[in-house]
Amino acid sequence: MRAILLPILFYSTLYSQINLSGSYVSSFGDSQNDFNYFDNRININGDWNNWSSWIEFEHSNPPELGRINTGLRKIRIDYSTNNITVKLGDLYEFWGNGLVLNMVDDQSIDLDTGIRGGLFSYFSDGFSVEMLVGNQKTWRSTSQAPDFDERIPNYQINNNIYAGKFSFNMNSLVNEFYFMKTEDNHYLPITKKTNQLDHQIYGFNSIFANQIFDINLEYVTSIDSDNAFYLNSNYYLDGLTVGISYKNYLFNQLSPYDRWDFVNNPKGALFIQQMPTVFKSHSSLYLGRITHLIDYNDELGFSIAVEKMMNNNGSFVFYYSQASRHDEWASVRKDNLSLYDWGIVNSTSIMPSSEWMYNPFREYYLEWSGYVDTKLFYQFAYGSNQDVMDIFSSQYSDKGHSYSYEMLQAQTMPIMMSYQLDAKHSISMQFEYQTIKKGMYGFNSALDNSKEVFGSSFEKDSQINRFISIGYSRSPQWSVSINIDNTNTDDVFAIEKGRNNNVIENALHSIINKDFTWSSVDMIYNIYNSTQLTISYGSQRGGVFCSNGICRYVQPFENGFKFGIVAAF
Amino acid sequence: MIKYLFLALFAFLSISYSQKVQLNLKLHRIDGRKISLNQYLSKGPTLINFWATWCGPCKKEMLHLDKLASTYKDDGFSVVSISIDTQRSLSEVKRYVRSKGYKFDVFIDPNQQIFKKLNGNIMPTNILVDTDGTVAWMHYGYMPGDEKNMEQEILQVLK
Repeated sequence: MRAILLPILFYSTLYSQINLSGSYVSSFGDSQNDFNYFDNRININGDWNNWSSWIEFEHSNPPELGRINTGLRKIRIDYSTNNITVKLGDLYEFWGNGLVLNMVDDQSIDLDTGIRGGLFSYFSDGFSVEMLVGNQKTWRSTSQAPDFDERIPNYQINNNIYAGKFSFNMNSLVNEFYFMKTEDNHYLPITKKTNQLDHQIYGFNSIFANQIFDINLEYVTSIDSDNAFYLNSNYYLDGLTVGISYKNYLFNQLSPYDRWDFVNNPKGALFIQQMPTVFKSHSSLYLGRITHLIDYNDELGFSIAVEKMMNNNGSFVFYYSQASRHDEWASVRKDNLSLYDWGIVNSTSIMPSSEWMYNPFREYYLEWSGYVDTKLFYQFAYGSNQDVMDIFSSQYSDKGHSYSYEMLQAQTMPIMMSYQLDAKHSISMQFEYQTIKKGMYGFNSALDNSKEVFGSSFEKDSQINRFISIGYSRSPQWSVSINIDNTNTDDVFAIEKGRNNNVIENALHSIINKDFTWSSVDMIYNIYNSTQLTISYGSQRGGVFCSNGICRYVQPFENGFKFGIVAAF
Repeated sequence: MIKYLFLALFAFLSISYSQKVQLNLKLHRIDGRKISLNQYLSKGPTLINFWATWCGPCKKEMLHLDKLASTYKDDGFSVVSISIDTQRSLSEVKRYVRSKGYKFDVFIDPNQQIFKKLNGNIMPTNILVDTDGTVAWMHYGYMPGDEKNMEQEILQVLK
């Protein structure tokens, strides 16, 4: 550590032409249910003529999500001219739409797909060439490896990656060709052995754009003939925009039982392939909680988005997305024996199926937003979701079809408003209302007069959630808000039962049940323009937290304090 | 470890310097092409705005950024809007900007490399850069009314 820091300090002091800047991010949480964390990160960026460097130190013990890390986290040095770029160290690159590679570092869900290695790129107006070599060592949570914990990932991915890209431009057309070879040092906890598995992927990406429309299509295939296709096209009419997206990802066909087991099924989409989800990323709290979990190995679907401009900078948005798996799986007899195992019994065409056997997902979303005299901002929305999350059993017999599966159906109404009282002061309000019906549907054809039965995942038939947040801000110094999140029932299999209510929840108990209410007061104070302090007191409901189709369970935060500071210097 | 973190922090606070942005910083356009930040700085001061389609305050702020870009365009001022939407939701970026009819140029930074390089941490982050690359002003977050401060800072740089 000393060997790294001292030369930086020496050179930064000695040579004034070295431009140094950095940022510091710290967050601390202390709750009564032992969800405690202390995250610290310092990013240091240096520039000197064509050279630049990036170092990130971390002292997280324990982090809010992820493994304990104290020390150097990331380091990279870059050399860049008008035509050439060379990078050595921790790389975060993306090619095309991410069907080949997309390296991201998303702290909110502890997702890091970066590699440590080298990159060389040459580009001119007409064409560019890029090559990269590196090693990806990253952690994921899985119940298929020992010491499973939703908060602390327990399985390490270790890949060597060699990749190349060639692209050329012709007026409004950009074409890119990709190649990637990976050596997956795959550890199997059952055998306690590491095997090397090779993957090779080839890809093509083409983008055409003009003033009226654009189209982007990308196709990748592996030497095992697994493939993925993505298409996005937008049409720009007078005050109206229409967008269509299509995905068809097929890297591995796995039974419902093995679907999420990447440890014992290493063939399939790589962790470095972070592809478009083709469904909407929501800013709503409740819609974010029920985000569809995308299966990059086996999913096809489409989305249609229509956006119409209204008066006073307002707009109306209609969004529809649908997806499913490629095949229907059912228990089938193996080799004329009495043993049953999962097998493919039907397949869909190039469009997603809406039958439950294909794990369908469907979302409608409507949004109307705008301004009144630039002072009042409003946003009214409605979302309707249906998602068959898991299939537990499916078997055809002479007596019919017996099955059981888990489905979620939800209606959500998020409303946001803010009003500017004068040049500095404003008030804001956010209200969300959601009903969720979630549980297991089952049917046993072997029983006489059998009917489909439903078993709710909640202690009641459906869950009703209400969230309200009222805020006041004084630009540019501070803002304060009070947030109340209430529900009517708990999950049958709630991971944490029992509450440690805070003073706000106790005060509200005469109006709403404090056992099902989580409330907090948040304050933001801008010490300087680029130094922000956040203080929060109260509780935060646990549950699934999603970011762009990847979800993690986050445990509740009960009756505690959170402090955060972000500073750039 | 902690003493090294504080050493690094102390070092930054004790060294007198003016934060600068690399003039040849490469920006990724949505169509896959790259251009240099200097193309904007050679004309005048530039406000770099980081946003995302899932960020409510960012969208509220964009209306004001568009007005500022139009008002001071003749003075050489530009707004460079950089979306940090990941590849997984990137298709929404161009549709959103085109449907709103915003005049400023939009770039993408799905793996947040430019965002981190310019010390962005909170959405939205705004950085006002003078023609020589000096950071004249930087601000985290958006509260209604912040656009007035932003305009004052732009006027200061344009003087």
